[in-house]
Amino acid sequence: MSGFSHSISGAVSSANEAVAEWVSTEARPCILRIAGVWNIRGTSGIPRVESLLRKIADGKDARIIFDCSGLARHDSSLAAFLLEFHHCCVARGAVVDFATLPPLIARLLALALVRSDGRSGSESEERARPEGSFFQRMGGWGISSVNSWTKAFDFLGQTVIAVWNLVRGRARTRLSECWLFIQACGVDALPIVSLISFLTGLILAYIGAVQMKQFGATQYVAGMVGLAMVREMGALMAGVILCGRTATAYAAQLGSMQVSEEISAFRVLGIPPMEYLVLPRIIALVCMMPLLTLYADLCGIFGGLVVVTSMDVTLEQYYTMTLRAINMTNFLSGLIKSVFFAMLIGWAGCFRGMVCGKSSQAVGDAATSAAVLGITLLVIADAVFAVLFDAINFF
Amino acid sequence: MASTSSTFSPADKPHVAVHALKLAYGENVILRDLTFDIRRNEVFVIMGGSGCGKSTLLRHLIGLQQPASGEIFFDGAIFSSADASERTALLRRFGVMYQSGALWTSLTLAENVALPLREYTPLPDKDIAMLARYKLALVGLSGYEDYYPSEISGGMVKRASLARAMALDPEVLFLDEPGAGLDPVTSRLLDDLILQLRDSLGATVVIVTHELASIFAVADRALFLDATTRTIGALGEPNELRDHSENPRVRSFLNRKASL
Repeated sequence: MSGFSHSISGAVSSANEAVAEWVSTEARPCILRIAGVWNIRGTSGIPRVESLLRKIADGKDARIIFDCSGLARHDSSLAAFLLEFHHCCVARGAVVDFATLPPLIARLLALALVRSDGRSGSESEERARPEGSFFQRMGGWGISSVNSWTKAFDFLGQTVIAVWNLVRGRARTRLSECWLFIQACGVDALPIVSLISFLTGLILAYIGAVQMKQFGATQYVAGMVGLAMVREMGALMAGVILCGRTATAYAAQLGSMQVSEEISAFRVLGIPPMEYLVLPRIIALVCMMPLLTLYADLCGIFGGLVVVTSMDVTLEQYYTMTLRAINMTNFLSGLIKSVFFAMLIGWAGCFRGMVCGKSSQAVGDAATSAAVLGITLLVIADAVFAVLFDAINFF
Repeated sequence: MASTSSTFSPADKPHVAVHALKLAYGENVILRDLTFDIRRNEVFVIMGGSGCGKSTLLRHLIGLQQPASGEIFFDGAIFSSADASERTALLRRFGVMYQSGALWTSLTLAENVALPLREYTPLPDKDIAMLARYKLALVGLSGYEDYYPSEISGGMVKRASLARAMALDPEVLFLDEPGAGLDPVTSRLLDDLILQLRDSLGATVVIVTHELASIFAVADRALFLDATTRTIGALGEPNELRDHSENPRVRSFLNRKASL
């Protein structure tokens, strides 16, 4: 390297290692010899405080002075060692005389000790992370999960109030903001929705074709794919994609706004973040989700078409079989579901973002849990709808 | 004042030398014709009004940005156009305290200080923990080792950030707006701490600030960046500049006058 020679760090010569040893432990005062090169980049390491102190087990009221005549170069490793040494000696009732140290180190140690604000290093040990016994941990887990449910219901209530304010026309919201979100969650999602739903239709068609071929009824695959896409898969696939794309984005946006206190800034200005930040996002999703579902339906049916027409079924047959299988009610059931899915996805994303903690780690957690929560809610809601539609004979 | 700064210096070779530096974002020239030296063991302040390019200059000095032209020498070795491995070796001799602290929020204070040590020294974990405790004690944060940055106050974040900047015993400490966002008393204590650390660690300190009280309290020499001419307005001892600078903008800045 360059012609660099500075007193506090530098090249290590292996012959010189850091030395701290007792010259005498019997005589009073005890003399600790400090010598050699003390270097944090050195490989020899720093002498152990514990092993030194073991040698003066009867160290009560001992006075310790230093002999630094053999000290060559040193950096903060020496001061760190001496600080640790001091703390341990004080804990054992011994007195350390810093006046016998070179003035530079004595000054650093004085600085470190004066600025300790009366708190000792050992005090921090008490601030242990919550661990404890099995029951303690179970209890902690129980309390925190109750807390998170409380938060979720609180947020749900706030969302409902915000929507109610919007309906009454009293919400402080900028609906022009919606257009941006509509673009982000709708238009920008088209390519991925096309791909996924096309492949879903294709997969469904292959599965159906394997069975139907045995009866020579391959053309019925058309109806099966059409019905499955329109009633179930279109909304579900679009929902899953938006969970991954949009719910996580919402959580990350709101979460980082939470970290940088932007949300507090809104709150203090008297602008409710629920109405200003959350509503436009959910509204954008609710607007775009049915359209995306419709688009996903068509892509899926097209995917089925590609498979089935390669198996002796004509385009015309596919068309008529699809039309025969699905009706307006099927379409509607898919679209109704998609609106509810949109609410759930938007809500999950915004909820996780708004309750985000204040670190970069927390933003990541918020995004992850938004996706997990969104997909979970989505599937649960889908199951509820399946039972409900069956109960009211809605097909 | 400046004469005291050479006590540690083996030669009068500048610690950091900047030669004909031009800083630009694309076509937009921020600062040009910057030539100055930072002496060993001095407290060197880079000052100027908002938007004069103080922070941009600092980002160039610590290698976050490449100059449009000109060179930065560190201890005689060229820094601005060094290859990657040389740069990393030089960077390890710097310590930087960022304006907002820039502590890693997912790590505790002790872990924040320990991370550079863990990466760049062969020390065992126990020694690293001991060093981290010592560095935090130096800035008055002993007892706060296991706190996360989100759990402590702004002034403590600044001090913890200083402790992290000192982790590897740097030769040059770069401090970006150390007093910003602190109350006058805390800011003053931080200034004292910086001076004490400079004296006892033997490091060179480069501070970017626009706080007059802080400039007069700590600076051996100060560099004034002129937002109007986009280059150096003046360089010298702050008291001298305040009373005798030929540049009226420097005088009004240091006298806190809203003329011009």
